[in-house]
Amino acid sequence: MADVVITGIGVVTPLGNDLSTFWENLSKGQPGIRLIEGFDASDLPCRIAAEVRGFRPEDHLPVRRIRDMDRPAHFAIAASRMAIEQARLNAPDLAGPQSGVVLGIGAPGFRVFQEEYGRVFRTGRQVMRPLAVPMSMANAPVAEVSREWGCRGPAMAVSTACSSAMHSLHTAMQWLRTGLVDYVLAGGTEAPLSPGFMTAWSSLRALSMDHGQPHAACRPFSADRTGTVLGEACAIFVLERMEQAMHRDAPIWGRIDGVGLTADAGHITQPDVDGEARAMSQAIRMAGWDPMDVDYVSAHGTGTLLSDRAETEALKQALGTRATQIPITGLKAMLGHSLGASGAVALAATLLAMKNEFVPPTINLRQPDPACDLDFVPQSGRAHSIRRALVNAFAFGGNNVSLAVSQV
Amino acid sequence: MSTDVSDFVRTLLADVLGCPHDAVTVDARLVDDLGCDSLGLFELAFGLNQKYGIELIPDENEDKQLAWNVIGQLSSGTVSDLIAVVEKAVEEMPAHG
Repeated sequence: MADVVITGIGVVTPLGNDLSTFWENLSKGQPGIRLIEGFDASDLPCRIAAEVRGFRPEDHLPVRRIRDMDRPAHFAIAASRMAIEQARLNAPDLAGPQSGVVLGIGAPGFRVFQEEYGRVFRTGRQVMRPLAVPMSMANAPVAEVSREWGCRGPAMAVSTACSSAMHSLHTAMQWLRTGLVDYVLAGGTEAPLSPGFMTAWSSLRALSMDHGQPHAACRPFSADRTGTVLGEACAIFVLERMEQAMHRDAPIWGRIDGVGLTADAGHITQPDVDGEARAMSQAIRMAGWDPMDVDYVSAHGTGTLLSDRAETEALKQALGTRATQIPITGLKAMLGHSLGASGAVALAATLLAMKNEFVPPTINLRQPDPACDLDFVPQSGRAHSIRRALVNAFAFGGNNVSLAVSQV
Repeated sequence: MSTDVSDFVRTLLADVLGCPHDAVTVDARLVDDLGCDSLGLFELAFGLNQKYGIELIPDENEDKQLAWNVIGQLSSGTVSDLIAVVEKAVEEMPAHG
């Protein structure tokens, strides 16, 4: 089977809208979570989120297309451009049937629904923008990226809630391994933040309402955790076969060695230790590694009691004693939970950690939960050489994905 | 030609089509000069409905042929043709109250 490598990364995140700013803030443990500024949240039960700030669609798109797209597509255009530049490709390299696009998105259309349904309910008139449909469909960001770069191979969206981006990376890997295409733009994009979406999540009782200290509201693996924090983000990668990447002397960020995909077939929202552990074990097996080879894990780490404890147990089950020997970080403490994009953002962070030989911290971890007794790199990052890492993303619906990535 | 309607239509066209306001001259042709497509026409109709309550494009379910005739006329027309259609529709709106 052909090796598949990552040659370009583009990010739009609450910690920065380019790779260097993202890494600078991530490695220093800067919080990306604040009180909501993007819309009036004053009446909402939860007013905390990890919003992308300072992103200007007009820097990336002509005016007409900005109006005709929703925010996840704006992010995807910007991130895909960064990834292509990073990979030292030019637009004509991607234009044609040799290129595919696959992006994860867990919650498409919520901002459009809020606006358009809101108008109907306010006015009582059944009138909506004609573009509400093409703007809100799950594959809208994929379609816009495919149009932007002229990618005429397969183009599709993957929607498996919080594991969407990770499933998209697995799909990209298969396309490349089977020779279907030569380049894939893969990753995830998510921007659902809107009053209705926040209210729906508040009803689930999963969100932190720690309005007194929003920057520290998300506290994965901490005894004083108060819930997770929603966010928005996008990370897109250029993937290609290693042989081709080496032939064209492309920068190689890492190789995807294995992906574990499991379903719990259990509760719709509660995590399952066995399902999570099986995903990690599968990824390790497919990669041809031993658990002792794993140097680092980017945890799913949402900052909810059940999620943190299940993942800790699953890590012990899958990695055995190795789980107690390696650093594991919960990046959502800084980045919030960007749902369908979160796995891609975590992979970008992991590749940067590999390159910089430095593990970013789990911030806000001052009182470790005794049941979460692994090395979660509390408060400050540290120098650490990583050759092989796992990136976890677990999702409502019982989806578990673990991705094994190594330095080449 | 009413200045209010004319200004609103030209601003709406510039917004919907993403072109500079200056490019939306009264002589500009919607499709050939400004690049309006069918989705653009429907977006335009939506914006006019929000502002004036008028139905620029008739309901296809009621009279398909009429709807397509109107779309055809608008597609081949200029900005001033569109303004005239909007002004007429606004005038013919039943008075409120």
